[in-house]
Amino acid sequence: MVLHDRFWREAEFFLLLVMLCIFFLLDLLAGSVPLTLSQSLPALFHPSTADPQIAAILYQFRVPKAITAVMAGAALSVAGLQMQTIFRNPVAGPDILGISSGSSLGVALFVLSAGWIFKGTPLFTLAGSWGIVMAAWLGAGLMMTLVVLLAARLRDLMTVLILGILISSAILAIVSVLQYFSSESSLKSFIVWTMGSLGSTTQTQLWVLIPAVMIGLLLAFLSSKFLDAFLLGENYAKSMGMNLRVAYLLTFASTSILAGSITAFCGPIGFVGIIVPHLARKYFHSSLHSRLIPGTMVLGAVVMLAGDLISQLPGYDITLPINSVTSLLGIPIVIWIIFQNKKIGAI
Amino acid sequence: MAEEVYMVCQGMSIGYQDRTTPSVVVKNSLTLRALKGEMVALLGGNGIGKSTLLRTLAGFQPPLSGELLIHNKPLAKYRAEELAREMSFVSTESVKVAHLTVREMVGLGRYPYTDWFGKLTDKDQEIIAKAIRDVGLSGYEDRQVSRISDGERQRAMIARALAQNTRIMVLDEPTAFLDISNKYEIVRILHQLVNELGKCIIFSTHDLHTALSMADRIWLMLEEEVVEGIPEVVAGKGYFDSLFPGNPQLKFDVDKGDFRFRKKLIGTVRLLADTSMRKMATRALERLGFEIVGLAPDDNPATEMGSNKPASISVGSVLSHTTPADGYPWVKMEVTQMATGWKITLPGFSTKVESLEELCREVKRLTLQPES
Amino acid sequence: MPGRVLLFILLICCFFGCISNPKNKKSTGSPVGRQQNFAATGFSVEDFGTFQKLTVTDPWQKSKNNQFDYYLVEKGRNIPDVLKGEQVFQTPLRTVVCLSTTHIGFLDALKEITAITGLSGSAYVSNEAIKKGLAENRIHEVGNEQGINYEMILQLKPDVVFAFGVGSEIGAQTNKLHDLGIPVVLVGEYLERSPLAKAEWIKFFGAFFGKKQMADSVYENIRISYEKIRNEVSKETELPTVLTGLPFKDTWWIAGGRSNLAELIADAGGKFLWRENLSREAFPVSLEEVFVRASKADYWINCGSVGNISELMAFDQRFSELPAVKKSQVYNNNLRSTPGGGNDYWESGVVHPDLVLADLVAILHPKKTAGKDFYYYKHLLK
Repeated sequence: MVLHDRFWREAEFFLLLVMLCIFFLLDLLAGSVPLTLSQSLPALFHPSTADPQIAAILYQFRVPKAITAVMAGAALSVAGLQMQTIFRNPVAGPDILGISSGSSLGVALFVLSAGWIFKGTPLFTLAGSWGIVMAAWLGAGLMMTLVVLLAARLRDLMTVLILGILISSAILAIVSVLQYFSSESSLKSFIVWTMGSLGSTTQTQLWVLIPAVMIGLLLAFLSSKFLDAFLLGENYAKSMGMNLRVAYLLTFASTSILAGSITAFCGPIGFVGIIVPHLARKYFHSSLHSRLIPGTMVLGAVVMLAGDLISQLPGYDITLPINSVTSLLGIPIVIWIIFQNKKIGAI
Repeated sequence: MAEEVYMVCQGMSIGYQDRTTPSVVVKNSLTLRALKGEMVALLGGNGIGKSTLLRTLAGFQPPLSGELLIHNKPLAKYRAEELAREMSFVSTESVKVAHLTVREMVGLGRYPYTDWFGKLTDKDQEIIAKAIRDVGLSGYEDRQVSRISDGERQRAMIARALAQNTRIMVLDEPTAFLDISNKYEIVRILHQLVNELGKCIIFSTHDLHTALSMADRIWLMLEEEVVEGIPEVVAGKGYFDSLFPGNPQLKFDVDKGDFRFRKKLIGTVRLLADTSMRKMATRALERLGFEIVGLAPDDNPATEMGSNKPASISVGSVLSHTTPADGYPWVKMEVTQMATGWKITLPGFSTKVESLEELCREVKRLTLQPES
Repeated sequence: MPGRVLLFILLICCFFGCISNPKNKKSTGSPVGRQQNFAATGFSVEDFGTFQKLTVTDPWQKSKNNQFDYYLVEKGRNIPDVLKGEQVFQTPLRTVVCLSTTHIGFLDALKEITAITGLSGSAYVSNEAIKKGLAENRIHEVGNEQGINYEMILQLKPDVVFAFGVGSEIGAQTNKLHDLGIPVVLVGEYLERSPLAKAEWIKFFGAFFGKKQMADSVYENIRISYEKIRNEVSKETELPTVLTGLPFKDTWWIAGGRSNLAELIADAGGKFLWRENLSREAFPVSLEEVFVRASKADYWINCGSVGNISELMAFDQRFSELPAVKKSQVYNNNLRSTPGGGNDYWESGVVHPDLVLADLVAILHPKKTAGKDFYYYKHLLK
């Protein structure tokens, strides 16, 4: 019975990995320049002998975009999983601590401050895309520090949660003020950033994004045992010997690094972090994080690749911003989650 | 043989303390003990501080002052994981987690013993299996925790505490939401653990009867103090009467081992019934507020059903409190068992009914309604 | 009873009838001279002898059948009775407030810079005289769009406020200014399709300052110059391909195929890469698509506000492989940008499309214009 059980568990995971590969390949084929499998495969594996243009499109645009989608899906989903367990809230997501509003503030200050002109060129132009990344990371980092300080001073997690939400709202209010006073073009740039993008990460940027996400995921793996204890609530976790401080520190750090990095490079992407953990729990029939964390990672990557595929709108000339796709798909699923939970009253 | 004291507190005061507000003392100067192989029942009225005491003992909140020693070492000196190997806790709330099997949940109890990733060894699996067996949930291993009944779930929580393999177990009202059968089961299991494994189990309950009949030690929490001792001594010294000072109608019956209500009487009744119906009829009439005077003596086997001869009468106990109910005239009634039912006789009036149930209805109608 | 209801309804109808036909029914007679614009369609100037009638048509995007009449009467002349109740301006104007820095360009060409007492966007001004005036507090900032400082404008008491609207919300602004008794004139030069049509608005401004002749002659010079330059390259057969814009995140905003820039490129003897596009506004194209098409681009112009190639590549280094970058044929229109973030291209450049065209021809056909200096454009180097 145990062997049979084990087999199915491994099979579930294996199946998910296969799906990941398939979606990855499909995503490589989707884009505004039509590419067929026969064109792409040789270019993918033998870039030197293939048509240089196709190879350039694949390696400069499609492969980085697909890798970014995998990273974003995995990172946001695992961050969301941690938040849902810690706060015992089924609709919690990676930005529950206000990380994405922190990033927004950073980017808003950077992009919208018309007064920051240096040698005749706006600061925004001087720093280019790296500037946005740094501004977003800084904003996320500051927010996380604030939250950690609050959590250390306050005993009650619920209070931290509420304060996080209030601070997020305050930040967004500040961002609206900045938007109000900015010029048309900066406003447009900022709005475009908020729509999220998976395709703007270049290869050099990937060299920073991938390690950052890896660190965040590693921390998540290490917090797997803490999260299991949290399933029964803070009191039981304490009674089983869990060190609350370390647990919070680890999970908050992991979430901030994961959510902060993705928001820095791709802009705020919503709903993925909320729905994927639920889908993973249903798929694996488990709440134990030793299984859920790797499972959520892979499932998150698959979902994000699917989202990107949809946003490419194969067959049409235009593409949708990724945030719209995740919202349109995510909202009905979140509603379904809420109804499900009314039935059993649990995560 | 020296007693092995597992837990002792000296001059301990418990309560809540905030950084900003002054501390709220719930109880002062507590001195209590719990020994190895003892089942300790913590009793007390609602809101008197039982939960606060248990939470303090379990280490969830610090005592405001005084000493608390676990195995002769102050609680504060224990690291979280160390403490988790000595003491486990079960609360009253029903934890509902989706997608978690009983085995997985009980497995969480091995938390203090596993590595960074929480990997369960074969030995861990054995301990888990045994814990599940010990609480009588064999066969439930793969059932979902959210789909079993409340009683079964509570047992699973206890199994989890068992798997934690601690010498002391603290349970906060573990039988609160369970029916009698489950209540009894839980306490029986706890008793077994105490006797077979030598654990020290401290639990709070409102179920006086079970506590008095099964616990080795009682901690009785009153308004001003906590009284400690074996059940018979605590009961015998009359401490239970101070349990509910606000309610004069409640009196503790030492013989019965339970509280009894002082009922308001509306009258007396002479009951004539044969042996088989006598007890039922007595109880019914007492429930309706009557004092029984004059019963047939038991040693008349010649009572015949089917004859109109009244059955013999024996003298029963007379309730010591006879206070007429307000607003109702004192009733003097006679109830006689007949061949085909019962006859009720009141001054100037009599009627017949067919069953005991009808008797009750009729008596109620006749007596408990104001005379028109 | 029904009689009274009928009367009531009749009165209401008359009331509405009177309102819905405001001033347009006035018969002003027929104009003595009607100016025929060369290219501009957004305004018209009609001479009635004792007064002039300026009409501005649809001065904002998506406007339909909106017409604004402005009447000009020379100072010293009596205002004709027929203009009673109309908006009349006494020319020449003494003081004006400009809500767009482009208006400065027109006024500069008419040598009426001194008339400006207030403007919007003082940080972005290129004109030296204006900058001096701002520094010496003779010219004041009046805010922009949502944040117009009405009190400041009231204090300045200008003869007119030259405004522009992006959408129909401009109505609210003009109403507010009307309520304060400040005359507003809507200027719609930016909606003109061709560069020469835009520049022709100098005649519109000229009328307000009584400088019709000067405006006409300045414009004529510009027009002739522009056409001369255009003719020089019209016979070219090898037309270089041109890319515009720059990438941001997932998209690249490319100038519309029917935009001013597209027309300038065509007039300069270049082939705009997206000339089949029918939009007048910029539109988004995916990075991949641009990458593929731009592999055929010889030149890359108008790339935001970058000053050199490394700044450009900071936006997205994947485009460093483009032939235009490799051949170092990237040019940006910010040679005359100010430390405050302004760009003279949008100020005087609107009035002098011939200078812009000359730059573009120098870029696209260097052999023809060897040794010519750029006026608005800058060659981007590492």
